[in-house]
Amino acid sequence: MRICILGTSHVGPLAVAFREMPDTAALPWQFYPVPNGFAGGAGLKTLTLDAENRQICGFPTRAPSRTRAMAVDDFDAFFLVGGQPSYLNHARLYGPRYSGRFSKIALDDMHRNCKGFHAYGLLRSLTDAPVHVACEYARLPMGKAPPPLAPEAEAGMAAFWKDQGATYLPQPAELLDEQGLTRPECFVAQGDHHLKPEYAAAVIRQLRQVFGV
Amino acid sequence: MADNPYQSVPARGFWKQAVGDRSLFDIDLDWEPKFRIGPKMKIATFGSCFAQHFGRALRQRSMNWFDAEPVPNLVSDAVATAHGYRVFSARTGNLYTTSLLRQWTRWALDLGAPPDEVWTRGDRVFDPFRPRIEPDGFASVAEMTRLRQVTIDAFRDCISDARLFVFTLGLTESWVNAEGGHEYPMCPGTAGGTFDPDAHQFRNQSFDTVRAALEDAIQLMREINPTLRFLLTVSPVPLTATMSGQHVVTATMESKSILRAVAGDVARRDPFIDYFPSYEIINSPAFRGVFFDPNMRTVNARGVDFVMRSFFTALERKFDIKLDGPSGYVPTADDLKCEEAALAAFAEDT
Repeated sequence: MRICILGTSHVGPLAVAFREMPDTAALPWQFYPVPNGFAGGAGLKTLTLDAENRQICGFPTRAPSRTRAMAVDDFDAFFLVGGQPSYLNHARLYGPRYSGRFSKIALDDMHRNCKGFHAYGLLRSLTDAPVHVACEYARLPMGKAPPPLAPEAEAGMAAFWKDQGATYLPQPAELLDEQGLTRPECFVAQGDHHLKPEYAAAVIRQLRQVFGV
Repeated sequence: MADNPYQSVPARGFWKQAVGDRSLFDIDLDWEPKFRIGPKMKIATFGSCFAQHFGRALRQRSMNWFDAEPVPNLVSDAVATAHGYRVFSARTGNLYTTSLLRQWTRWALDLGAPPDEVWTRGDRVFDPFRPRIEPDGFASVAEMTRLRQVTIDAFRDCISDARLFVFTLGLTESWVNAEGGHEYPMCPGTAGGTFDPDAHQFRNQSFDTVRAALEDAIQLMREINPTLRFLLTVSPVPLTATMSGQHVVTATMESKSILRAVAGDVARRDPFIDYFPSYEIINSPAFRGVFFDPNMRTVNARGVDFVMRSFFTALERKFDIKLDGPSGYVPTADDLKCEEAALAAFAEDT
């Protein structure tokens, strides 16, 4: 199954983890981060989403130099990661301080105003292939109490993406602590929200299970 | 000419020099703040709909506007303000009268509790004391009660943690429950609920009533926060409708005159209470009505910008500070949350 992993810098650790796994060489998976710092470090092609012309292009992004870099039809399914409000942002909307209706409206609003949703819209306009989505991994800011009712936030995100015709993938259970938060040791460093490759491997295993490969 | 006291009055005290010989945009009311208001001062804002401009302008200037009921930054302003967030420092909705301010203050300080009254429409529940705070209502009485308590707690935080409390006086006309004495921000039956002529009474508050409520509220707040200072303003926005039986213009002038007189009287007495003349900037004949929209009720963006620019300029001049932010404050035309404006829907077509 030809899988395209598309997204922000969070694609980088997934690509590294994928390469380091012993049995992935034959899998026709491609990793495409939109430009930013971490992607270069992972040695990946970088793309830009050209919404105006409904295409996905390589660098540089100036119009005369744009080249089509990714043929959407070459893939059977997509995994879109990052470019959305983090899991923590969603979780903060759930709890005793907000009404149930406001939480849902605000969650929809946050998603619709983010570049990940924009990218999804572009992708969906180009293909009917299955799209799976994960939000950005995020650590708890220092000294902040964990948000309550994280499972409700997860359910809210799943419902939102189902309405959009995509499937929300929660974080792999093995990355989470008992409160449902990503364990601190999973991240590259304090203040860096990218997963270490050994923990990003859990996401790759999750994807293989989802896609049955 | 014999010596007399007017010889020492500065130019701003004479109409000809201060107004008559000037372009209206060069008129400077030369507000002299009583106390320092700096960028780090934690400022809470409440009151009638015009007060919303203060909060928003403070945010735009990177001043320390107190948001006691925040939502994540990624939630858009449109969604947040539609649900009463980022409008006032807590999600009280508009507090048009000084008696509503006192009522919320008493609730916040555990000197009273909101009655059990609820309004319903279909299976949705509405809060009689902020009927439009959730546009589609609450899912249950329990949710409504829980979230009202969140706001009461946040209002208390504003009293105890803020250093400046900005309050804009809006109306003298009010509606109260005859039996319980509690006041509604809107007449029952207009923004929700059912009007009952036996239960719901109209009260057009007098100077003494407005002043007593304001003084009570300020005194209660100062008891738990002796350092709290107050900045009073009066909304220049005329009434949407009046129950006084008078012509709406006559009712507006009487109402605003009372509010303006109370604000001046209260501010004059104490060094920790100041008055900012936004009402005069918009309503004085010196400005020829140019800051009103064609309906002569809503204040246009230029008017709001002129008011806020006057406010910040006065602070910079008096305290020799530079406040960050855009040079102008330009609100959009429809971005205020004014429940009272809903009364216009009840007018007969002419």
